[in-house]
Amino acid sequence: MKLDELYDRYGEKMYHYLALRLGSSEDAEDVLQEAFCRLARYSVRWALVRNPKAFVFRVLRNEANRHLARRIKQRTDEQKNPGLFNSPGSVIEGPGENSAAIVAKALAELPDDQKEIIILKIFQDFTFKEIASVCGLSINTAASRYRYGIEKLRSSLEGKA
Amino acid sequence: MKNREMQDVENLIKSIKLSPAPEGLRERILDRARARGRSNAGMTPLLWKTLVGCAAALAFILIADGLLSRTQQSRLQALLDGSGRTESRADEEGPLLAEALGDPISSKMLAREKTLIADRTSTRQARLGHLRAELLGEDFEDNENIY
Repeated sequence: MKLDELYDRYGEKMYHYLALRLGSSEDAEDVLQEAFCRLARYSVRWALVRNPKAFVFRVLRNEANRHLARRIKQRTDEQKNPGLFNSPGSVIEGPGENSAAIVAKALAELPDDQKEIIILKIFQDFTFKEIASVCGLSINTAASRYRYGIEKLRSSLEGKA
Repeated sequence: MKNREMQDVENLIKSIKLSPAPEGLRERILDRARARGRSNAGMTPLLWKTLVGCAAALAFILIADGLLSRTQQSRLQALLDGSGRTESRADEEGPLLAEALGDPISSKMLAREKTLIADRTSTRQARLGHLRAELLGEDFEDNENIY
């Protein structure tokens, strides 16, 4: 698969996954760039990849994790920790006070492992099997993290209502 | 949590409208990825690993070969090195011979035995010298009579 084809198939979805997970469109662009460079450098034999979508997202996830690890180190070095994730304002459409913005804020506040699974399930239409493959988890763990995440989101939204 | 409640929360999450990707993102990403892919095309990580592995194997072979040749050389040297034993051998064998013969041997006879042993040893030395020259590739005249 050529890079153009790869971008046309998954580029936009990859960008949205990163934007939601990292909470910043600039960071999303940087990480997407790194992921594409990695995919280009390895010149993957796509014929051997059983599920290209899961494979691409696994590469992307690893790159996002590296980025988050760098950010944690940076924050630790700066001796301040105002929160690992940026506000989602820059990645969602519409005014900051509407219900979608409140939901997006509540989503951004979820623990990263739950948030990631909710993003993959709801915005990328992944099955639990694919999520398990991307995140290196069992299907049951992926499903239960999703359920815990939804429950936490619900109680958080009820608290805000 | 009931399925319906879960569905409601999922619908709420789906109501989030994500901003579209910035303009020109596709071109920026692809251009930089291609440029970096070209610069690294010659040496993928797998190629690097293979190269390092081959270099290590080559170094190991060269070192092992050097050590083995040195051992062989010293063994060969020890095999060929017979010098300095001529006198001592004659001296060692003289009294043994006298004892074996039972009677005390006259000094003249003993001297003759010593000479014989020394001659035998020097002939052997010459043979070994020839053999060494052949093994080490030294020039040796074909018609030279070593015996």
